[in-house]
Amino acid sequence: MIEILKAMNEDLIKKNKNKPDALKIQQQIKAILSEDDCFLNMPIELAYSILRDLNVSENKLKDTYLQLIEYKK
Amino acid sequence: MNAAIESELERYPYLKSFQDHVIITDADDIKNIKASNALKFGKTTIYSEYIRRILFNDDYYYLAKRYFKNQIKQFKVATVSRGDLVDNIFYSKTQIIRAINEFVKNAEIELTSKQQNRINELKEIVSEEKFLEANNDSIYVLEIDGEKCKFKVSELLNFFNLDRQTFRTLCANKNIAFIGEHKKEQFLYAAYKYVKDSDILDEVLFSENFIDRFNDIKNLQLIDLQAINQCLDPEDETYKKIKLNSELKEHILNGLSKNATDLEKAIYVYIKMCKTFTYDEAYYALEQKGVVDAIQKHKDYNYIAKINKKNNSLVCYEFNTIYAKILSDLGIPFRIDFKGTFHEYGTGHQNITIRCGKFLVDADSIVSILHGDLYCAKVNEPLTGITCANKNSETQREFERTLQRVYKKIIREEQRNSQATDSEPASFEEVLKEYQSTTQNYQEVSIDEKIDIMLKKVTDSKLKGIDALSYLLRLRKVLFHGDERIDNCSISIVRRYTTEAEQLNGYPIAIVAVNNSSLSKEEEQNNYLIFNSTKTVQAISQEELQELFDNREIMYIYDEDKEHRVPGIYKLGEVRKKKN
Repeated sequence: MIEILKAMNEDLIKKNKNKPDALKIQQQIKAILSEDDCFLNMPIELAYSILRDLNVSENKLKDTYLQLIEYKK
Repeated sequence: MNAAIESELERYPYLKSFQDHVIITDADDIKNIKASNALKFGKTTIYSEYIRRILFNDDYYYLAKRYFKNQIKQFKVATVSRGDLVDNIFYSKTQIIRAINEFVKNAEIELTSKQQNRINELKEIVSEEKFLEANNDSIYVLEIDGEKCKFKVSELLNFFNLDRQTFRTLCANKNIAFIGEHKKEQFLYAAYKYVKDSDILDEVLFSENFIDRFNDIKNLQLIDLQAINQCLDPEDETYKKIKLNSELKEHILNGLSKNATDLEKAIYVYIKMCKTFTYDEAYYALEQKGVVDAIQKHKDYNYIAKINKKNNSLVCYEFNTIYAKILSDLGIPFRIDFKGTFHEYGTGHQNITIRCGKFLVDADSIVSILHGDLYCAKVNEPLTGITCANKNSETQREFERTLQRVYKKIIREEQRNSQATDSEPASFEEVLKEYQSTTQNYQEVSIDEKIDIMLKKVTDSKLKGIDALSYLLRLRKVLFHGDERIDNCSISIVRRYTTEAEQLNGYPIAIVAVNNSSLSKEEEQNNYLIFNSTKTVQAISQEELQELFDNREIMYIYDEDKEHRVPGIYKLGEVRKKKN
């Protein structure tokens, strides 16, 4: 799932090349996603915010988040 | 003519040659004329006595008629003083006709048929119909932005005879690009220039509609023609001789979009230059005077080759010469304007006028040495040295919008570059904090949803081993914060004792307590889960859990630490809270 989000983020970076405000947000998200287990290191509110900025629909936020905070041995 | 005037003419015989177009009279007579009723046409005062004499005095009428027929260039009344003609009174043909109309209308002058015939004759000579008839095949040749254009005079003049609505629609509608075979702007410019330069408004009696339409073009509000034929010559070509540091040029142009309009390019370069350069302090301190090197070096344009990002002090003509060089490389026309007696590099003050399509831009980075744009741009304050010279209000507004847009873009670029070049990378927490301040999508998540997620994860069958306990604690940290960890979700790591094969064994377990409302105030609504690292998760009631604690089958690892106490579970002897 994290790889999917990274791909979505890259697409949005290309799409917003000429929109500085939107581009800035996507670049910030890129830096966040590059961190291992990033979603286990941030409050759920910020996690949902990132998913919204990546255009994940509201009704899919919880299920997506559950996948992202999956326990890894 | 009285004896005094005759005496003057005898004394200065050359004055007699003026009598073919001047009525020479005495000073008292001039006073007499000026004492009569008067009309004001703009700045011109027209005297009724003068007009009356044209209609009633044969000498006056004779010269006026010759003037109207262009047989003489001017017709005036004057007196003589010390061999010179003074106190001249003269008017244009159309002023005379308009004055006649007004004075007759106001009954200042009463007409007989003879005067009426004279009026009709003069009007007919300067009528629009007669003029158009005489110029039906005339061609007006005008150079417009380097292109030689030819226009039929009759077409130019007939355009000003259009009714107001049609005229304004043709001028203002941006979808109409041509009038006849000519580009619209070129045609309108030619029409205006022809009327203005030929002075035909003084010579020909056009209608009020014609004059109003001409003024519509003249005031530049209906359509902006102001930039036509401007900046065709830079006036100073020093910029061609300089060598500009390539790294400096690259720095100034870095970030400039290839798709930018000429106006955006001109503004972008100006702002980047203001941010890059600073006014030479020594030059300022020495009040720009003297023969010391600090002054003299700026009088040699070869010094510009030494200016770079580090050696960035300069004065006005260096700024303008560098700006001119870059504008020239970008293909944008401009004109250097000298202010001072000598139009020479290194003297006086200079600014630059730039032409970007319909925009005329005046740029002076050093309107004030201390408060000009070389300072303002560095602190992102409003710029005062780059302005729109157009009189058209819409053009001015467009210019302002473009200036603000480009300025903001440069500021954002600076901020991005500043972040990218920070010597230490931002920590994850710092990146998160910055993101939180930027995003518009931050919202609270309900306690119900958080508890639901927590329980889903806790009951996940994949959870195994002691490491899973760490995961649970971590999960609680990201889902619940502040008071929520006290009120809504508690995780306690405790010791569970078992007896296996008659051996007392202990292992850690996690007791998860959740409550949508308050773990401490609404205890009876607490839900409990025992997470056993070797077995599946088990839901347990408050009573069952309490019994396990009471039987010492479960004990706290940190017995005295209230933070790790399971909410709603009491030690032996402790008084249970009563529900309010």
